[in-house]
Amino acid sequence: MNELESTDAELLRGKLRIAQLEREAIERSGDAAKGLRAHLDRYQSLVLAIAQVIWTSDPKGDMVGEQPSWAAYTGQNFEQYQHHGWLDAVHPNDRAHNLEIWERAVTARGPCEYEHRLRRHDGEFRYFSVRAVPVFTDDGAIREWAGIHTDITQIKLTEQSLRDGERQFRELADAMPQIVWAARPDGHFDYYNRRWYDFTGRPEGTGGDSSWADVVHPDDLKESLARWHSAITSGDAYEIEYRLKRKEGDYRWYLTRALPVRDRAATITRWFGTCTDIDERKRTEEELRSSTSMLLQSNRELRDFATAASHDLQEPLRKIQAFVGCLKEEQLATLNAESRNYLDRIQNAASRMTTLVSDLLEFSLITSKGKHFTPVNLNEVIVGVLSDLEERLAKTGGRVELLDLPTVASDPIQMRQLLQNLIGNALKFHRRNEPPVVRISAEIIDSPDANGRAQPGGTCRISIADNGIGFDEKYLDRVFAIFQRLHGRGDYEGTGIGLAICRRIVERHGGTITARSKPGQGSTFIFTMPLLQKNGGNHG
Amino acid sequence: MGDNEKSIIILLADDDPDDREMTRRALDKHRLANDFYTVPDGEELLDFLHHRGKYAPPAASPTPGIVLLDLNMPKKDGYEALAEIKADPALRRIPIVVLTTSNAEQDISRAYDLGSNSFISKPISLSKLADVMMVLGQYWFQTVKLPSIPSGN
Repeated sequence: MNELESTDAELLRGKLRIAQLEREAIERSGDAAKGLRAHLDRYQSLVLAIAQVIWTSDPKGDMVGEQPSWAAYTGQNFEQYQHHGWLDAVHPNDRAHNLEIWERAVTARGPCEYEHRLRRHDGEFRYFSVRAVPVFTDDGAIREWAGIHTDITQIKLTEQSLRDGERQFRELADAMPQIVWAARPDGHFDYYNRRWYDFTGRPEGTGGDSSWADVVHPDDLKESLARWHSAITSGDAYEIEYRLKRKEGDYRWYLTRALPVRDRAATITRWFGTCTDIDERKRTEEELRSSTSMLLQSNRELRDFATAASHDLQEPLRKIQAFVGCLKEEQLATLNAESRNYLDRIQNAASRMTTLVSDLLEFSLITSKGKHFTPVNLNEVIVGVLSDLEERLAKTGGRVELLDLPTVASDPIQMRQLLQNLIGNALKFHRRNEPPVVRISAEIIDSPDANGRAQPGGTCRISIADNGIGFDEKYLDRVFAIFQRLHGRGDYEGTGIGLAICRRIVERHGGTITARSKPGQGSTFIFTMPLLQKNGGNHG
Repeated sequence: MGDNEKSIIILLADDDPDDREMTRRALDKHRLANDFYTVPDGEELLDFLHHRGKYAPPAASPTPGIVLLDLNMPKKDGYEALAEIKADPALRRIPIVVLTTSNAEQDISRAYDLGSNSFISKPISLSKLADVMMVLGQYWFQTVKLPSIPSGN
């Protein structure tokens, strides 16, 4: 090879070498670029992953250079966000404030913090908290600002919803007819609804411990303080009835109840209470109590009156009978048959009057002087009654057929009166030449009371059937009315009060009485009574 | 009655003049009315027993061996008088028989609670009243031993 050939070869080798170097250079820079790209990608991913946006700006606050985080979030491209272009991504209403903060920060050369709404690449505005710090050069000048946006949208929403919740609560509390209040766990009152301020006439928003103490009636205050203290210590519900003074100066009765609110650890975080106006009810209760007491008093007075009246009415009758008796005994010889007849009639009338007054007294005392209800075995009562009626039974040749009777909560003496009257009647009103036969039976039924409620223990229905003269059922009401008779005065002895007494007794026990009958075919008197009584039956 | 026994003085407290008359007659029928005194109300009854007021002269108010007591009297009724007598050590020995028109259970209980020795419901007719007086006389003056009562104060 000659000299030229070797130079060309070297040139070629040189070119090849350059080409190789160039290739290598390109390849190496590609690696670097790739490496850089990879770093960039990682950086971007990191940046995007931290829900925060980071950026830098020049000392004046203009964005310069690539701002990938900002770009990625806002969707603005390079041209768009350069210099003050980034403001376009800020919500229009927040821009002025934003700039103001910036200017101050730049002047002050110190960090700043503010909030604004930033538009996301999809157009949605979200809340951000922004913090920007200056980066200083060695000689103290600001080289650039570094900033970080933190998404606080969720927090803002939560705050808003809390505020909404709070507002809704207040609206509800103000709409309620009751006074509503709230207190801290230590018992300090920190909220009253509008009703409270309307009621007390105090300016809205005032409150605190001392307020409510002034409003409570002095006689009720001690008890309410004690109970409130006990409630906040124990965590049990608070409840009290007391009088509150309204702005007009008068007191009204209120029922206050409060319950604690607990967090997940069951610690009390708040007390909520209501005060409900129960003044009407309290006053009604008072009136009822005083009415009842007046009625009881009236009952007592009536009873005393009836007793006194009966005594005073009986006195002249006794005299009539006594002195007519004297006349008959001492003057018998001087009296002719007619005189003796007159005297007999006088005595008779006086005697009937005595019985009448006595029966009237009995009638009037049934409710006011009745005894307490105790269990009474009616079979035993019948035995006593039949013993009293022995004479009449014998005289009429009558007989009584008795089926088993229940034990009933009742006044024993009145049961005696009731059965004596009914059985006595059954024997009295017998058919001529027909010995009376009386059948007494009972059954237990479940009949509701006047309000349709079932009687505890059930009801018994007792029937007293006779084979006597009977009566037309169209007179049924008269039969139980006082002084009403279906026969002439002389036909059958009696005052016409017996069945009225029966009805009153039965009604006092919460029962009913009626009769079935046909003239000439006997009668059946039926009464019902609850087996148990709710109260003792004492009417003073 | 034995020779040694003085006749028993009967004192009746009753506001009704007719009743007083009837009782006298009833006692009379059985010759028990020899020493029969009456007072019209509880106050005079106590005055009589304490020999006070118009009964100060001892002759006017000999200590009775038995008192027949009506319950319904003005000024001071039978219950009050009964309570007072039975509370007084000087008078409580005197047997008191309540003789009244009432037959109400609570009147009977109340009389016995206050210490009456017995209780009789006045019958209406004179003859029955006379029978009662006879039985009364037999029981209290013959069957029963009466205590001695210091007479005078």
